[in-house]
Amino acid sequence: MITNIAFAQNDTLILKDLELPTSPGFILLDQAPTSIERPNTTRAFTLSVLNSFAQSNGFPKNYAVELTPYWFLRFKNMNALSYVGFKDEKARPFSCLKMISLSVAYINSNDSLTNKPINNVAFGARTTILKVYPKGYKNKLLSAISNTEYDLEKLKKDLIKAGATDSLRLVNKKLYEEIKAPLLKTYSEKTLNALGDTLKIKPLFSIDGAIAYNTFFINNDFSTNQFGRFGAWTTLNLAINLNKDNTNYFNLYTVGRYLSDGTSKSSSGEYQVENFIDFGGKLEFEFDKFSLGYEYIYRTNDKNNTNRSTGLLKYKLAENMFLTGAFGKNFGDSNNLVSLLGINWGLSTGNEKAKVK
Amino acid sequence: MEQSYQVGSGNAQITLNVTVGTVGVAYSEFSIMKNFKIIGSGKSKPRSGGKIDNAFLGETSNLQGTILTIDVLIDLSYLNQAQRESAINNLVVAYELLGGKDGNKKYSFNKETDLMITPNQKILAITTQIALILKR
Repeated sequence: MITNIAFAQNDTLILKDLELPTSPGFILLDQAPTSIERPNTTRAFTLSVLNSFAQSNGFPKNYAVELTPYWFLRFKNMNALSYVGFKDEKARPFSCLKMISLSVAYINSNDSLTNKPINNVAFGARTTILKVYPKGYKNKLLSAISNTEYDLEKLKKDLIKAGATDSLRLVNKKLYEEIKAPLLKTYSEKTLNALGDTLKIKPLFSIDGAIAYNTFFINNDFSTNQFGRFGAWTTLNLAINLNKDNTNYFNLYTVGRYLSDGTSKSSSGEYQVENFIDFGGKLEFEFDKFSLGYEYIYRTNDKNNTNRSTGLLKYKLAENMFLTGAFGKNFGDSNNLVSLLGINWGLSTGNEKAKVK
Repeated sequence: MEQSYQVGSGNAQITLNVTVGTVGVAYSEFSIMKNFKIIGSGKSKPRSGGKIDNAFLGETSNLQGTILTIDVLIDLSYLNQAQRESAINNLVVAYELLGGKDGNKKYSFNKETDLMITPNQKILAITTQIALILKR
């Protein structure tokens, strides 16, 4: 589970919430520190809670659930190479489509005129559509897998040398396991994880896609169900490696988004639908412990133009614990200050059905 | 011995397929034991994901009364904890024996008795033994 705790700086903020996994629903409703972020499908299931102490007396008001079906499915022909996007030792640039994630976000707000509560429900999906790795990546990957297999073969020989033989298993399985278990444990603690080091290498170029739909209810009344927003967007990412350990990157993102917005009101007080095009970009320096970035998004239609301009900082305090800050201007002409600092911490979860001995 | 395969009599050729479905790095090998001595063995090809295809075990006359042991070792160390749990839950390990009196017979591993998982869930070891018998 991921829980996000945000500390608002003052009561004038329009964006008081902070969240770690930017569910497409949160991005659609501009309720995220960043509008440009790559999909993170390393977790099977994520519950994110957006908490605003100032508005809700400490009780979280906004939630999102995101799951990656891939991690719940069983594949007969799966192996490490196909998981990372290779088949018959050839790169499959579109293989990452299988990691599509689905989400539902629940976001509470108040009508700016009547102050009645508004309950938003947003459904979203996102995935990486294409990724291209830098030259030499394939050889490093194949070499890492071969080395790991070689180590496993050696482990098997060591088990036999230690006495965990096929014949012992046949006649005394308990003793066989008593010999085998500590050797496996020692090996698991010393394994070099060559493949993990190789997988730190980010794709040189990638294209991500996301889609989200939002409907909302006024004053907790189901009959008031109204179309809120629909958005579809794509992000292009160029990642330039800055060091040999593959931990430091310069990331350049460009984003294009279609947005149909039914949340604004006409002069007669009726909700009206407006269509927008967003485009913009983000520069980001990503280091082992922290990242620093700036993003600018321009939103336009034939009536209005607006923009979002924010600086972002994320610092890794510990495993699954991040300090995140954002400052800048959100879309619109009023109540548009983005200013937040918060600690994100989480316990990621996999498939809860997993049985572990 | 919980599992057995009836090879029958004659000189038919017995073959083995091992299928491993995992996001981890897998290595497999098998051995044939007669009177507690190894009389044959084989292993998965490099970067095959632990798969063994159509491995020739021997002729029925040589395999009667032997024990086939299949070992699959899987390294999940490159995955995070959540992914390891998912990988363990969705693990596929299946065996198929062909050519004997039992024909094409499929087996799977027993999670309770064949699977060993290290405390950090980085290494899985699956060992399955199948008795190759003349008749039941």
